[in-house]
Amino acid sequence: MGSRKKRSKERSRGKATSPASREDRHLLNGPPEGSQRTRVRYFIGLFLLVNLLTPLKWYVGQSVGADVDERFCWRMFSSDSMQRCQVEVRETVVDGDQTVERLVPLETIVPPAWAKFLNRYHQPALVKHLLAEHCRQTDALSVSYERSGTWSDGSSFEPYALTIECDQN
Amino acid sequence: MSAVQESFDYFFFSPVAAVRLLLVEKCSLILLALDLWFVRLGSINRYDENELSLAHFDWLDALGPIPSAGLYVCIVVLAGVLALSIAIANLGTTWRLALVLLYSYTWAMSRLDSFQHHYLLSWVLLCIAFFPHVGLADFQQGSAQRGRSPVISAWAWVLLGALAAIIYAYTAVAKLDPIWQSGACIQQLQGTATLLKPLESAFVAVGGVASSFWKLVAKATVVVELVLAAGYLLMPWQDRQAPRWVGKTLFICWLLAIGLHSSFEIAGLRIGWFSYFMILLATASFLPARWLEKLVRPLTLLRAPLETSSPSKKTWQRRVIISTGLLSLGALLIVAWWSDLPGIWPATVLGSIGFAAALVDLQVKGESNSQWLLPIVLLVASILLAAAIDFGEVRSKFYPYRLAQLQRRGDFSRAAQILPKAKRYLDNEDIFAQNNLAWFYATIDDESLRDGTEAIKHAKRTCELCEYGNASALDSLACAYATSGDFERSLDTVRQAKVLLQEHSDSPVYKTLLDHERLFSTGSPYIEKVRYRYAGRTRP
Repeated sequence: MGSRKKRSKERSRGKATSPASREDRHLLNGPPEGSQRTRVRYFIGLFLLVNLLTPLKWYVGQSVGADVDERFCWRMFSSDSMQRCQVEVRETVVDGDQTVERLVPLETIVPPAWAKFLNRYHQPALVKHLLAEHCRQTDALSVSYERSGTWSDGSSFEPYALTIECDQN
Repeated sequence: MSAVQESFDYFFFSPVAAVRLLLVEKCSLILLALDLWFVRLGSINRYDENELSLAHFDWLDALGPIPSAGLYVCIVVLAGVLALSIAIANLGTTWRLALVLLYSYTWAMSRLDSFQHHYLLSWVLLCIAFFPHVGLADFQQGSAQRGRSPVISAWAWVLLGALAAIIYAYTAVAKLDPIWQSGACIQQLQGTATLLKPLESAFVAVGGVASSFWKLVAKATVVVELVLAAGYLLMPWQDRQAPRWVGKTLFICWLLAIGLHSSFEIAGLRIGWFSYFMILLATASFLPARWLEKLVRPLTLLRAPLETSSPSKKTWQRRVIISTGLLSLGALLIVAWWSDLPGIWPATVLGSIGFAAALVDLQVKGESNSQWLLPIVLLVASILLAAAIDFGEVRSKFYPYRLAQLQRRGDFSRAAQILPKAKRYLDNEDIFAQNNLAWFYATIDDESLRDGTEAIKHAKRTCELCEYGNASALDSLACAYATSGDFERSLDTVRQAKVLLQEHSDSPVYKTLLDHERLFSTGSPYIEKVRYRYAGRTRP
């Protein structure tokens, strides 16, 4: 009776242990020793550092107003990734003796999978590549990209716009 | 040794229950192979060496080959075979690191695959690569250690828990902005699913406001994710000298993880098999080891036929290895021939070389039991791969779509080459594939390939599938009639399509219908000119 009381007291104080920590277990493999342990420590440190710092780049980038995307930042289902968007690409070309700006349908520039992708994700590096490619392949003087739309709650977000002057490429 | 270092060593190097490693390693690798073949193989039509390409890393664009459907199939098939082989035949660390590279390349080759859980799985595989060896033998009834829980020092397992904690913490932080907290995102995520509707109704019935309910759910999601992050940091202690509240808390974490990830599945979020991986990790991490051991012990019976001791048994075993090896290679060759997919033959050749190398590796290490298993793995892999290609309708998704890509690009000679395959594997119930074929036959800018009769057949099927209620499908049918010279019907059909869109007369489809109507009224069919301005590959 006394020992039962003691056990219950220990339990309430948080001293009792889980079954696996009792003496009913056998050790299959011990920890690394010596220089191997040091190497493992470095590996763990590096692994944790990379995983802690990589997602931070989005938060730091946002705070300084840099063009950052959400890849590798564990922002699945964030409000950004749930924006409803439309994308417009426009080019400025010489038409006769004047310059005109005209809309370029996205599906004439990229395959459907990429068009869908550009509507869904904000990826500045991809946009820059796309516009530079458009400059290379056409006689356009400049080409611009605008991504606009709304947040989940229906309010509009600030459009993302980028223009490239083709002669600079 | 400093106190920090001591705490670090205690956290990462103190023993944990070996059963957790066994479960995560075996089940996640098997799940990974199935995921690769049954889910991800179906994405091959995204990859085309002649189109825009951008890898996740600049150096990969500079060094790696141009992503193509063939390369994608090859890598996905090989990664699946390797994952199964590691899970069942216990291949060593080098093979595991090779899997990390192969798997990572499946998503890193193109930004079109931006699913973050694929990136997460690469980190998980890296941790698994450094798991110490735990086999079913360690849990076998009647062994010298009978009745005793096997424990093991496994820093990579603890690191995997720390990784999960970091991810849950960041996913929670990502939801702290006002838009998420307003509950609008979670309402959007819920979509048409009715999972939370009864709860919302109950909340309103007791006097609550619907918008407050969604705010509450949004906040609760953040709390659950933070609790799970804490749970994964706490997890290593349950196998050490931990107070009882640790076990109870972790059990609550398990319930929360099951609830969170099950709700993702019920809501129909398109996240592949990510939820199953996370449920597996939560089960292996949070449940008491003795429960998990009860799950594992029956599996140890499977080991009995593999035990070898006498020389005669070993000779017999060698014969079995050779005969099943030949049978497996035969099966792999048949599947490669039958599958008719780009990249499958290079995968077969590389897989066979890898198989031989793994057999030699196991022989050198004296792991005859695993050697015995390897040919069986290859046989199972061949059967599973065939099932994945057939049930996943990989070919019927691939060829009709590739045909449309080639038409848009103006590559008519290649289009002519794959046309028989597009017809052979065409799914009679696939609206988009039927429409692609109808459009191809009706509008291709190559007279030798244009065929009005075939175009009408596939366009009619498309319209049947959408019950004549889709303007684009009707437009394809109108183009098909025009190609076969029946302009009266083509005009009737295009007008029928216009009626469907009369309330959206400013839409691009309506404008296209007007153009086509004008064209058909002059007695000309619509021929599609090359749509892409960029012929040929583009990459940075």
